[in-house]
Amino acid sequence: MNPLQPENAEQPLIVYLDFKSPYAYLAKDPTWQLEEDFGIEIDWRPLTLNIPSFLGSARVNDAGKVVEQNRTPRQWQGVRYAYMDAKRYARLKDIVLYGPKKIWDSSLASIGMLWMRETGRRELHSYMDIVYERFWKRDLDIEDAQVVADVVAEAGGDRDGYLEYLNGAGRQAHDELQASLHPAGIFGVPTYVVGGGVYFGREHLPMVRWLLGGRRGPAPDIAYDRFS
Amino acid sequence: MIGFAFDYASTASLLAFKPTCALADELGVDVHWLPYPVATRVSPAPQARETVAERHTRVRAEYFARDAARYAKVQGIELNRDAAGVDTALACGGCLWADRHGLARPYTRQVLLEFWAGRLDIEDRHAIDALLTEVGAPGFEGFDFREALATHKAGLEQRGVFNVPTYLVADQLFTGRAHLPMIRWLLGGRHGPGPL
Repeated sequence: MNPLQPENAEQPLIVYLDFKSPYAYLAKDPTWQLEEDFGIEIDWRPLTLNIPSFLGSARVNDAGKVVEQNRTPRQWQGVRYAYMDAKRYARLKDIVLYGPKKIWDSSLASIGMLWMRETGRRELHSYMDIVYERFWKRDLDIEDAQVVADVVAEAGGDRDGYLEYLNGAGRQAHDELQASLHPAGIFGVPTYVVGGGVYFGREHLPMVRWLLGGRRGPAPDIAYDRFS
Repeated sequence: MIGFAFDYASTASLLAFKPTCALADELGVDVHWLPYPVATRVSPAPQARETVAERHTRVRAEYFARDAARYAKVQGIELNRDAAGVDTALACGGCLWADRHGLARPYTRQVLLEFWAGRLDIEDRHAIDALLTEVGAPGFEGFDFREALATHKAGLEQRGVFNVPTYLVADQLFTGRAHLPMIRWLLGGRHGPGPL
């Protein structure tokens, strides 16, 4: 496999996601819908967020009490608002979002995503659906390679192939991709790379659709909207 | 009623102004203008030896500057300056004064557009006095805006506001104009599926 270039792909749209981001989870389905609506294949890629580097870190116990943290008051306000906000949109779609008890290392699941890209579209879609749904129900340990490998198999992928990839070419491809993102101006999820531009957040879906649709009519503003 | 907490030195507030007014007009509801001065920061410059956190902060700041510029173009708004280090307390105090005259909307429009076009110094008392007189709210000279603004700001923070633009609608807070479809859906009676 050739190394992925952060802003270049054969497909007209690159999408970066992280399984531990609730906003990326909310963006998943309306973004998959673009494939159907525009007859395209999206180049789906993982962006494994280093959350402590920009939002501090924290861990809560089973009762939801913070037992470790190094966040500023403003970071706490931002984090609490973000989860409240994601949950209210999730409720409208019957998506279950339980707040994580710690900041997870999602790189094993990210490498699973890279592996499933090579397996097939349907399998990749299934893998993403399973990981997101179970992780946000606190029903999937994405730091356990065997658990992630089981999901790979359940989604139609090669379990042993994933484990071999994880410990070799997959880890290398993942780490090289992550290192190339900041220099390309890519830092968060979901991020859309389309029409020569980088767009962070699902609020840009109207713009993404406008660009994919041939820039017809006036360019839209940002909006969390519903598309049918 | 749509509560709209904003700051004149925020490009996100600038870009929210027009669509917020459009939604309020469409729904036939008033906007409660809630100036909320926030600290403006100088965008970090690239350094030879950046930590991951420093690099993330810089890349993010650079992105949001580019994003503001492209959507300003979409809205036909002039964006000719940055706001690093600008103290917006005077302009925010002016909004409280304008609001007493029912003129917060035209005042805010003028301040946002003229400031970002580079034609208005919002730290200049005479310039703000003159603008208030121009929109029909004279007499700002004798108003102790700092005390009024401090009380007003503390009240917003008690309601959970910490960033701009923030909408206060039906006991909920929404940060960013991207939520306007949700606000339309809530104020319109929640007909049909909610936005996403």
